Amino acid sequence: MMQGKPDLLARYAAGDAGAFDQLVADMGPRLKGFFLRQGAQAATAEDLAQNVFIRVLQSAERYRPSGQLEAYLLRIARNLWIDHRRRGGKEFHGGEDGPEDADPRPGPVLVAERHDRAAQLRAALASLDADTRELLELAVLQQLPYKEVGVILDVPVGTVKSRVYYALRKLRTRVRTLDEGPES
Amino acid sequence: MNREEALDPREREELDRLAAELRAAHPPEPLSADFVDRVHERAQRRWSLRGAMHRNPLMRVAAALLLVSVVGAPVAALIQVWQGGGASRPLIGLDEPLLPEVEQSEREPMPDVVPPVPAWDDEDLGPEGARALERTNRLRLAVASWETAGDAPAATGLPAAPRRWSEATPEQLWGAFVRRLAAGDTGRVPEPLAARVRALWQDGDAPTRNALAGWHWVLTGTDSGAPQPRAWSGAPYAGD
Repeated sequence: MMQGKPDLLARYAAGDAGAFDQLVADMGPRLKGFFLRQGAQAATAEDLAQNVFIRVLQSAERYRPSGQLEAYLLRIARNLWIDHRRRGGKEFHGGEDGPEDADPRPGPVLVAERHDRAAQLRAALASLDADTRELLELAVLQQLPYKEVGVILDVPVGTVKSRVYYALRKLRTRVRTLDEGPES
Repeated sequence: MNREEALDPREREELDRLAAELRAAHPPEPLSADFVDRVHERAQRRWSLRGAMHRNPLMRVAAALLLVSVVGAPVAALIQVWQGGGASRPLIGLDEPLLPEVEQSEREPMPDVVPPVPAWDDEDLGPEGARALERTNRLRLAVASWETAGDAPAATGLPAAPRRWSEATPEQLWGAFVRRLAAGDTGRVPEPLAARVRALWQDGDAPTRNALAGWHWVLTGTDSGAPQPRAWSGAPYAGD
């Protein structure tokens, strides 16, 4: 979280060239993770993360500090990902077909990692539908305030809260399914 | 009541723990070593018209000029067509230069002067004829001068003409001269009048000669030139 920290983009716009590099160091890994978890391959995820910062550079002079720099960057990242998908990006690797179409049963790799809790969680998240995955990404993994998540997803903040717990329940169920193995 | 409020504290705790585990399972992804350099390199390489216009005021001016030059001519043509005014063809030619009216009115009339030479080779005027013609010409010059700058009040209240020219006084001769000028009479000067002028001129004092100056110039041609009518109007006469 960067809240409470000085707005690095505002500092860069004011002439502090090092602030931009600091912003890249802080947010670059998080943005790359965002794209990876949305389904991008590693190289594409890094390219898209770079695109986020290029857009930030191009609009730095127009940037008005609002204390929500992380939300600003993630909003750009989300738009870039949507554009990438519209242009036919093929790196998508799962979960996009929706919960009813997704196969909750673990594949061979997941079976091998059955006892690895972190791997179970990653696999369970990847098996969720795109909307649920995006919600957990913004609210849980990126830890944006519910209000900002509501702005990005264009839903009321109360809806965000309820959907987050609904998504966590869904994730819990998916983890239990993976843990129990392909008994069905 | 939303779903969050429906959670019992134990489940809420469990879900919060799950969220923390989920975060822990997703550590930050390491970036390639040249990530920042590539961002800068790509940002410099990515030239966009919008970005260039935003950064460079000269680009904005150039774009504005380009837009005006590209759009201006068709728009002007459309406006011309819309207004329905066919382009008036310019007339090609030369205008005859006209002199200003004032200048024309200020032109002096050209007096009809006949030089004192025979009109035809076989005509012999003789000394007397040539002298008479010279007098007539000078009288014409005097009339022309009067018409150009004549003083109309000077032609009123003149002394009456004498019964005989041989008895005429200088002011009567002066009045006769002015009346001729006002009437434009350039006819032959009677010899008795000429003789009377010569006689009075010969022994005349300054006022007398002043009154006879016109006739004396017409008859002899001597003096500096044609007397000016304005100079006569206030001249003291012999009778004053």
